[in-house]
Amino acid sequence: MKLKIPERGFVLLDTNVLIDTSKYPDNFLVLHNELKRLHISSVVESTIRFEFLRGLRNVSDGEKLLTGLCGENHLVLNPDKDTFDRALKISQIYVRNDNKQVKIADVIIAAQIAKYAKGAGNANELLLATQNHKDFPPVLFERVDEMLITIPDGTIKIIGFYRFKSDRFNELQVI
Amino acid sequence: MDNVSEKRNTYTWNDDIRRLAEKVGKDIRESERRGFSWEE
Repeated sequence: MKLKIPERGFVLLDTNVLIDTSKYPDNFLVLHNELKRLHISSVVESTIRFEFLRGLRNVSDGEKLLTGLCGENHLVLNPDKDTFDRALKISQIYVRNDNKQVKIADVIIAAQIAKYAKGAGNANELLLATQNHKDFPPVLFERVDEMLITIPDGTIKIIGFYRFKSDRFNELQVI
Repeated sequence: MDNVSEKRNTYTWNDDIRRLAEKVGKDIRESERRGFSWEE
C-alpha cells in the first residue's frame, strides 16, 4: 500500500499509532517503511509523548523507542500560550459544530497541527497520522490519505493522515 | 514547519527498533492487563 502524502513532508504520529506500533510491530512495519520511503520528517509533540509514556512501567524503553523512530535530537513541539489560545478557538468552533466530546489533549494536538498548517506561513505543512478519527472532525480537518493495517485477530486498523483547514479556521473563528 | 525544521530528522525503522517496539508492546499489554487505559 503506497501512501499519497507529500514526499519529504512532516508527519506527527498520534499516541494510538505509537501504541499500536509497539503492540503490533510486524503489522505496522508497512506504515514505517512507507514513512521511510517517502523521507517523511519526524516530529514529537510533548502532549503525545506524555500520553504515550504515562502508562509504561519502563519509561526509558519508551523514550528509546521514540528516539529510535524519530532520530537523535529529534524535533519536539512544546505547547505554549499561543498553542492554548489557538486550542481555545478550535474548541469554540467544535462546540458550535456539535463536536462537544473532543478530549483536551486532542484539541492541543489540533492546535499544534494548526500552527504548522499550510497557509499559516509554512511551505511544508505538518500532517497528523491518527486512528482517532472522530476527534479530528471534518469541520477543521481534511483526510489526505489513509492506510489500512490488519492485526493478528483480524481487526482492521485505519490510520488517517489529516491536514488542518486553515482557511476554514480563519472563516469560522470570526463568526 | 520550516522555521523549526533545522533539526529535521526522518522516520527510521530497522530490526533494532522493531525489537525495542516489541519490548515496549509487552509493557503496554501488561499495563492494560492491570487495568490501565490510554483513553481518557
